[in-house]
Amino acid sequence: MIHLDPRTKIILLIITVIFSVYVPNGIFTSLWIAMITVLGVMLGRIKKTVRAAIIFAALMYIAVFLLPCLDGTIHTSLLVWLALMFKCYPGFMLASVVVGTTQISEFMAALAKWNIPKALVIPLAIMFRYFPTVKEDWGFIKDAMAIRGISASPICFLKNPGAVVDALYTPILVTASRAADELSASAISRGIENPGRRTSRLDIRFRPADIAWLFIFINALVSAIILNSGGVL
Amino acid sequence: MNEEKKGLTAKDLIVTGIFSVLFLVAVMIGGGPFATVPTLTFYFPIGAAVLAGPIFMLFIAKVPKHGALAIVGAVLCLLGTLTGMHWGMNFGFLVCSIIASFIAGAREFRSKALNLIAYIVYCIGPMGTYFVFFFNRESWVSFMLGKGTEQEYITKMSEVASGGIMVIMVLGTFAVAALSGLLGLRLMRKQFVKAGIAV
Repeated sequence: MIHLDPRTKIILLIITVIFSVYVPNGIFTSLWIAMITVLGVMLGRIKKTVRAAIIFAALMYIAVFLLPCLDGTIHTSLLVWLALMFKCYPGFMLASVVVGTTQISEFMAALAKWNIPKALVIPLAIMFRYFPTVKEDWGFIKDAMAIRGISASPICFLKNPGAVVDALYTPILVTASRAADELSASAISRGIENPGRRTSRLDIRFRPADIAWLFIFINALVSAIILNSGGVL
Repeated sequence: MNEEKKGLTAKDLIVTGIFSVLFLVAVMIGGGPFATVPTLTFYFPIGAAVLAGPIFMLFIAKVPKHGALAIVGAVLCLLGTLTGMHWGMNFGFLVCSIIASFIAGAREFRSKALNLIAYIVYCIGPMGTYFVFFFNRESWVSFMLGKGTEQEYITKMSEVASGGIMVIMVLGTFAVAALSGLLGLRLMRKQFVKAGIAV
């Protein structure tokens, strides 16, 4: 188990995005996923990381062994869909590791060290916190709609658009605005509006582990770009 | 909190964060299915405009200040860049939300008609990338190919691209955005004002 500075995690995420943009899908994507899997396991997020890696392996299997057997429209749409998945997968996987292993106070303290304005840090921090809540609420809303005999499916929508729209938007928006009020009351009482420099009890600085991982990722990126442009091998 | 305060308070920023999540979810659910299919990709702005109307209306009612929409645009722009979207779309989001902010702000965010127009302007944002596609196709194709988009996707996309599609895209987005915005205004009147979470 290791512990990384949130700033290191953000830099690793940026490196992964650069990788996705400049290196086409293929063997490098698989290696990159393997690297993220090791990182995720070492950060202590074992189950979900391994599951994500297995899903990736299954998709890769489909792309390499099953896709050549198909042709026509199915082939094209599957190819495009898989290509899009492989493009986004490393970034999304690392992002979920980062969000899952970083506490919000750590994240804000780290960004405060980079002197990023509060107007950007606060909405971003709230977004990371609020995404899982939306998913959770969505489950409750679906249950509540089922009790009233409606659902968000297209058929039900065509039968009774008014009721579906009301039953969908009202709870989502009302819970969102309640959550906003409660969160801001809590944040203000803990002094988020303090104009001075933010201080933190957490000891946030770059350690040997951070430097090692940055070194690994930067090296991997450079070698992937060089090997891919057809140089050495 | 001091009512006279002009700038954005911490509370406004938190509301902005939460509503940015909702905007993003609305774009992903409404537009996501279109974006992955090459022949339907031009309808993406229409899909993205379907769901967000009520969210937009409640948002500008809760934070009636100029900077707030711009921050939503900046956050969407940042996340779009991180996930490798075309710059036309990212800056479209940013520029259009700033313009929308000024339109709605001209009447202190209280005029229904202006809010509706502001939402339509906001929905133009995602079209940025397609404008680049139509007016400067070579640069668009080379940019996307360089990013690793499949050649097949772009070929399919170019097959269906024509002047007519663009007119459909623009008018369709306007129509859908107007409907979604009207729905938002109706929900505001019927639900949120009564529930006491907006004025």
